Amino acid sequence: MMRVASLDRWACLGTSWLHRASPVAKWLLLGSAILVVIVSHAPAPLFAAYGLLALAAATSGVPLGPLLLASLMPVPLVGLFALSRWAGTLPALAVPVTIVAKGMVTALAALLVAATTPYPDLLAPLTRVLPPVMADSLVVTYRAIFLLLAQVEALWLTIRVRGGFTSRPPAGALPWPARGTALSRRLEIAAIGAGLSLLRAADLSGRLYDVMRLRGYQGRLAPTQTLALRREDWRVLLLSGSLLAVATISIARRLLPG
Amino acid sequence: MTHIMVPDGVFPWWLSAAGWVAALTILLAATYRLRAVATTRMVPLVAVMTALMAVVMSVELVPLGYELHLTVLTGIVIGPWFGAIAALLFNVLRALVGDGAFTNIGLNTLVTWLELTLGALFFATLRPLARRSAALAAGVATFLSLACSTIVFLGIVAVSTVDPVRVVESGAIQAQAGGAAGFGRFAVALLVLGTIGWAIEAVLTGGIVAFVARVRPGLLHLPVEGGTTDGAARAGKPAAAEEVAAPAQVAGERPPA
Repeated sequence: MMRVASLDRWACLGTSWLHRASPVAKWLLLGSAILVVIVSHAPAPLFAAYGLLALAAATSGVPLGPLLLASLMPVPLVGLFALSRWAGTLPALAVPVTIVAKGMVTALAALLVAATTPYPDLLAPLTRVLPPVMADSLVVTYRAIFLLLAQVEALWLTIRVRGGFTSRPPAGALPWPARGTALSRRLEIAAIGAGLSLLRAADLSGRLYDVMRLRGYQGRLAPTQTLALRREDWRVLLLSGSLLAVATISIARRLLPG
Repeated sequence: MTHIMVPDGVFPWWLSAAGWVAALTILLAATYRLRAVATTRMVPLVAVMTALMAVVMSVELVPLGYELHLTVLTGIVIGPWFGAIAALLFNVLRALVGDGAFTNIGLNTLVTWLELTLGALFFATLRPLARRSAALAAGVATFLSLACSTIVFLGIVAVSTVDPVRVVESGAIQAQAGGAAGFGRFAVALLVLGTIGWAIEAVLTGGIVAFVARVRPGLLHLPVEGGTTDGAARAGKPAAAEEVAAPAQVAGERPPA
């Protein structure tokens, strides 16, 4: 979940054309990518969509390598399902490739939107349609992720500094006799660390929510910019249009004979 | 299992739509059950448990194709009705960081909710054991709950009638189901690899529950020495644990002993 921290940082610090676009335009972009994924039943249109999204990522100032790497995360998880659909022949290899490519396109589109949209803008439309308890929970959850990450990082550092995962060599012995801590002890330390982080984050989160309400939070996030479409959204809309064109071609190739 | 790792556009539209209908029904039921509950104090706890699931999700056991989620711990702490909210938010956040299918959020919410509800139910059933060994009770509850949700997941995959081979070859969207052999291989692989994943998650959940049971048992609705919750023991501060326990009672769960 370090990914969330990176995405949040890129979204807040970036100033590219994609960062400046309105949230609605970026939701449309995400919708177009999902449409391509739904209607495509061959690898080619999916690779085309992936290429377009990668191009957008490359020109939006977001670190391309980590973003593309993160978009591959679903591959091992989807891979098992995809392989189960493979008939074992070379032509049928298109099936698992298509399934995996679908996962990659959705992942890259979502990551691209999340990496270029600060979270108040990203979540603001959702807080307007969700019931209050869900909207509140969504907003506090996003902050709680960072509280929890900070707790885990601090605790992990403390454990390492105090040698929690390595035993000391006997007095007078050279360093190499030191062996790693037993697996059971490691698990115990990890579980205690997770439990401790959870309790501390729960306390901090409660305090954060109190502060938010004291400062006037009433269940709706105020976006940092207007949610409506603007003139400078044309590049995002062009990208969405390109994705829709890919979707249209994909449908046409399937429906038209020859 | 927690969620279905199948991309958008692989399941037929009616199955994804049915998932959304089921998820909305659960959320409506949760909203109805929680209407009389003061949710203000529960929001941070729901948020932290959802965040915990999202953070732990990053621990991917790549060789097994398995992600840890601690959904059962979430179910034990916040109960099934607040758990429905946590399940939806978790899946929305997952999709937003590129780790899920948007069209399958409904189905994933259903599976996640089942997992944390069954976990809470099993833990409540094992409460006599939990008083002696919370870790063992939580571990057993986790293993059983994950096994049940994986069977539900396999059922969903079996119900789906999409055969990507025929879709690719013929272009027919309404193709027949994938071969039984393919599903059989998938089911066997998932159950074998999943069993290892369930065991790892059960051990981790058991460890965390053992620690929380020692430090703040009220959070798990377990009795505290002296007949009070730990929250009440904290002088001068409203007991979060007691506030946590209250909605569970209203929602018809077994009250803390």
